[in-house]
Amino acid sequence: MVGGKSSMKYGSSALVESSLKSQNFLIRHFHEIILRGDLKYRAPLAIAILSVAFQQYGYWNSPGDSESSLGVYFSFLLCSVVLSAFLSLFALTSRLGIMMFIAIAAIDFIPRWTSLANHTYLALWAIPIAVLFKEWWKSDLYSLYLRYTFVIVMFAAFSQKLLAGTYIDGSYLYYLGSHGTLTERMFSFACDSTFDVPCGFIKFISIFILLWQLSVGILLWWGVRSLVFLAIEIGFLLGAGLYADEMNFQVLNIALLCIVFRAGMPMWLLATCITLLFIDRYSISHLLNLMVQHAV
Amino acid sequence: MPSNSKTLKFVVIAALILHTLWIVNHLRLVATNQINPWKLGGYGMYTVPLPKVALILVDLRNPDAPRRIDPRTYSVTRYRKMFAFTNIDRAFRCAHIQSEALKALFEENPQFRGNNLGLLYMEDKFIQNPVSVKRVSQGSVAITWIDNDFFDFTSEFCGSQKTGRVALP
Repeated sequence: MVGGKSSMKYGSSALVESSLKSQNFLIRHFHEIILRGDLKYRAPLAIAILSVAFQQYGYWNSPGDSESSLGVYFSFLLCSVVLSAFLSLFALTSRLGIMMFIAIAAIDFIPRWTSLANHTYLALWAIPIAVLFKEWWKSDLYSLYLRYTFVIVMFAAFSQKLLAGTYIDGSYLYYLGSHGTLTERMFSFACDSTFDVPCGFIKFISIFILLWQLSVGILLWWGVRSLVFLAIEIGFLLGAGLYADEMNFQVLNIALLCIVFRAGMPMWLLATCITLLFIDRYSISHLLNLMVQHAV
Repeated sequence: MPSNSKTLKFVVIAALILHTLWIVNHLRLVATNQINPWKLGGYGMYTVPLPKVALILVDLRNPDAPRRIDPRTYSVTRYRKMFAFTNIDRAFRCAHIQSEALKALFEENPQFRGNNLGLLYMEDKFIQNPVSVKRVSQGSVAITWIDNDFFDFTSEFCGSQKTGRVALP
């Protein structure tokens, strides 16, 4: 009986010990695999994928489809993109998340290639290629690829604005000042709208934007990776997003720039980006109007 | 694949070259007014307002007095689906309307069978001086019925013309 008790005692303590061991193993692995420091280096890609989900939300949630079977299909696509963003956060599942994103792109984005927003094109050039790298967040080559992708984007944006001629003479921003959304009218105070001709201030802002995009392209081409430069560019992107009332493209750019600069995404920037994506869902103009109505 | 292998470098360089070629072609197509700058993957969409392309159906039975047809009396769902993979919302603004799409339009709206019709595409055009937006025609399709089973059409976009004959079952 005594021997039986002791063997039972021994058995239960072994059980406790083994369960403690497995608990420690899980905690250690949770810490090492999931919460390890390099999570902040994978967060930018998760945010980039999430920005695509928010960008597509309007299309997937169009009222015409919400009551049909397409509504279920589109909800599935939305959940899949969010899940792929989540999976891309962790070292073990990051490539799986990117593969999921590629599958969704092949099923839903590519067939709509003529109606996709230009933002989605940038995401398609930038994100899927990460799947080729075993640990993309440690790869100099992937970071270099994104750097040159941004060089192309900046030079293209500069060239397009130059060719259109509507930034050199300030006519586009002047037009937005009187016909744009609430936020796009922020510079309307500077010009007299009775003449239908842009004033000097609007011309200055337009040409500044043009030159800024060219400068960013050149600096990235040269390989400038100063965090001050990143901070100024993030500030510029947020300003542009606020003006155009279009935050998901800016969040995509910010996230990808974090990979270019190998700076990772600190928690405050991560929280800011997620907040901006939710704000963008309703649009800044809409929220401002609501606030004004509420105040009145 | 090792992260610095030759294959990987080749793929990365190829993707960058392809991206550059895509953008150069996009710039060319925008400069020659062949595409909507907001679409097809360029990075200069904030240069002109959205063109807001709209389709208007016009009754041409009396050519001297064309009459706009009430949009509540017809459907263009199947007609639009014909462009689902090729030209949604006329991103390629100079592309001609194909005979299959016109066939789908009459199959969806049998009440128009035998009626001479005009399909008019309108869009916003940005004017720099004085700064304004003007609603202009992007192009049109004129449909003339020969008998109850055949019609001729002339599609006109960006100064180019395409004609054809369509048989309906």
